[in-house]
Amino acid sequence: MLSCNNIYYRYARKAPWILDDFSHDFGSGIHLIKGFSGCGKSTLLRVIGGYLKQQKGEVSFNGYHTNNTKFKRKYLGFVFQKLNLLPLASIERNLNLAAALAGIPQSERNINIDKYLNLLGLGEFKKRLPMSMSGGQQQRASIARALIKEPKVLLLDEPTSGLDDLNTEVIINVLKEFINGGDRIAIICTHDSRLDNIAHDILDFNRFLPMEGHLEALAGTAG
Amino acid sequence: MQIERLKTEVASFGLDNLLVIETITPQDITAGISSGRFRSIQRHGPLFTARKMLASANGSNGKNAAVIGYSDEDIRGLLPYLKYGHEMFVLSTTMPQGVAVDYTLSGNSFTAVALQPQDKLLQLIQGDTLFIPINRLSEIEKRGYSLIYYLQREPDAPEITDITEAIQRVSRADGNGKIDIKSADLIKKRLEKLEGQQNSMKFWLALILGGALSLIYGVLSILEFRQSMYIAALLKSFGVSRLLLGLRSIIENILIVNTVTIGIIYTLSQYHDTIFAALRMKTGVDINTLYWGQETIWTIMAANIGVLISSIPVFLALRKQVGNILE
Repeated sequence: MLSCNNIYYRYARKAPWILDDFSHDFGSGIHLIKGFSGCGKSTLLRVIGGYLKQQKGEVSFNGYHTNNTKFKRKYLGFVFQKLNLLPLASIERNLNLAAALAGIPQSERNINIDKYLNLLGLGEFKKRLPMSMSGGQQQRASIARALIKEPKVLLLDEPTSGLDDLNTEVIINVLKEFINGGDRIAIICTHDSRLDNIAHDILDFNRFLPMEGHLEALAGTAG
Repeated sequence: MQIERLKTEVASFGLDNLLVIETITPQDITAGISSGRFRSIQRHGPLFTARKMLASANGSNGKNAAVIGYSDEDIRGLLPYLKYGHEMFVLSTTMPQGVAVDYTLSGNSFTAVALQPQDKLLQLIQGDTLFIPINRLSEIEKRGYSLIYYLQREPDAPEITDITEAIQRVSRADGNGKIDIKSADLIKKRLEKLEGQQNSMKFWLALILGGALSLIYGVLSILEFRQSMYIAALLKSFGVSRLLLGLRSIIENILIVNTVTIGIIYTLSQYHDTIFAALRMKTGVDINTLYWGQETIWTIMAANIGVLISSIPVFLALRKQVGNILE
């Protein structure tokens, strides 16, 4: 169970709270966080991952605070919106590094690299540099890197944005397999309704957004 | 280079020797100002005196010779040469002893016998030097001359510094005549001053070089770090600790900086002669002292301090939250 208790977060001292007394428990399964741009979905994901330090409140997973380095090393997989693959390292090297830092032995790493690259249809791209691959391929490589250590908590920030149906389908299948692998949590920030079918829980983040009414008015969708 | 030259000069001049050159102008002669006012220093040791004329003699051997006139008062210092029985002689390191050479000087002809100069006079003369009794040079004498006093101080005599001071005091009191004094003591003082200046220059050079190196390395390290900051953030996102990343950065920079600094100094020391020759500068210095002295340690220390200073922004950047760097 991953618990967020009374989380407050803002980017500057006098700025409005992006996360204002947010509490939620995430159990095993796939959780979608949906909401307008700027509503704080990505911020929440980074706070959960321990990449942003909340001003108040606590995020914990099985007794670990999520900003704990051991949690990040062993139990957390994160897919950034901008992927952040090491540009001068091959896909294999990118995956190997993530697995090595998680303390996975070399033999197991090799098996996992092949397994996840094949699952994501990247078996033949193992030796390629990220820059020589398409956006969809890089996105899948980035997911493979997050999965390589078989984390307990997988956080994905817009993993399918801008991808065609085929690429999205590949990712959906991998996410299903990941969740079926045991007691695992996947939290996905997305606008993509193609992912709705695999979700065990959808968190509508707009209800936490004080500006919701204004945004709806701007979008022309208000009552 | 100048320091090396002065050291050689001190060694060759001798610590107990004093050279005073008094310039007598035609006006001094007309005014009846007596020369030889410093002859009294002969009580401190053997004194060689002579008058170097403002003229040169043309020799039958095709060479010109400087002309020195001597009076009865100067004979004592010239006894080693006058003992051969020739009142006119030419001191020469190139001509064989005893050879006769004809000289022409202001329309007058002289025949002089070549003699080898003894060690103590070697540093007073340059090239062939013709010695003639002063009474034969009365016309030339009127043009003015330099009166040379060369004292070899006896062990129980006052220190060269004291004698020098006494001469300077007399000269100031008289208020006329120009004197130049040369002694190992004065050379040593110049040497000490030069060495002091050189040490200070070396210190500042080392400091500037070290500072410049540390700035360059600092800027490079900041640029390099900025470029790879997101990689560090990525590693932090994988759970690598901030401390470990910071230490890695410091150790890496220390290794690079020291290797490069020592490498540059080593390369310069190896190619010193070639570089100096290419720049048409004198070589011949002690490479070990020049490149592996105290200032090298200062340079390396300054470079390492630079590394530590340049690590401050690295640590500040490492404090940034991963979520603010990676999107």
